[in-house]
Amino acid sequence: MGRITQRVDASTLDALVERPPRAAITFTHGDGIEAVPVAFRRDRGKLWIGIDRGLPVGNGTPVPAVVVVDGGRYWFELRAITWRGRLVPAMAPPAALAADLQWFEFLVDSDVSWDYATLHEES
Amino acid sequence: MSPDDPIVLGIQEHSYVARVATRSRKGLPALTPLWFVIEGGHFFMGTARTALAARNVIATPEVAILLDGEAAGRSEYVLRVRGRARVHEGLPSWRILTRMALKYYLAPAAARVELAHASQWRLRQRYYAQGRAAVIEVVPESAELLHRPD
Repeated sequence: MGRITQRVDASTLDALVERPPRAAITFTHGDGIEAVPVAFRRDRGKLWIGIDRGLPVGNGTPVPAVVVVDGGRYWFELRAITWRGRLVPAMAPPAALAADLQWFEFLVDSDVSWDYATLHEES
Repeated sequence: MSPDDPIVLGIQEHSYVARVATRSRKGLPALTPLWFVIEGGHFFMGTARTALAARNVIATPEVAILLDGEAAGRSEYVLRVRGRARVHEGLPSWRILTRMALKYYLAPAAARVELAHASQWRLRQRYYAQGRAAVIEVVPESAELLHRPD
């Protein structure tokens, strides 16, 4: 018998990515861990992360981080994409992004996606 | 804010999925959506002993939790709770299990979702049987409201 998994290809969760009910980022800050809600946009294959201006994020250098967009409350509704990568200040973010936030491009190293409604046995 | 501030308690009551930020021993961050219930002011979250969040908590107990209060509608704010966590191996206590069941399986809206997926229940049993159960307990130390950027 194969392994039972909820893992899916990220491309099956485009609707979640376009309008995520929840979006957040975490990164280390000093000796602690930072976690904040973010504005999340995908534009022409690039991921853009908007964070409140009051929050210090790095010093212009890439910050290792994890971004999660997720949705659902109950078991078979839960779905999410987790990206691990680096947060870098956006030099030329898309013009439509909110000006009251500081914007970063998220450079993806890896991703994991799951959708519990698709629970299945791997062949 | 104090973790027992009425605003904090209200958001907790209306939240279903906690995003739990943890760090590995090497300092790598992780962010994991987890179900939770509150008992005696502590968070209890079911997971697997081998899950990244559990392994990180064992290495580094400081965690941050984000809660949306989604059952009350989309708010301008997200609650962040900071605290210290520990991992208990095995299933949660019956008291915690009962609260989990009432919140996530037996509430009317939850039961509707469960019934719609009845054909997958057996598969879910096999899914859970693949891992060793564990519980992450978080003792809150502080809380604050963060503006939700949109």
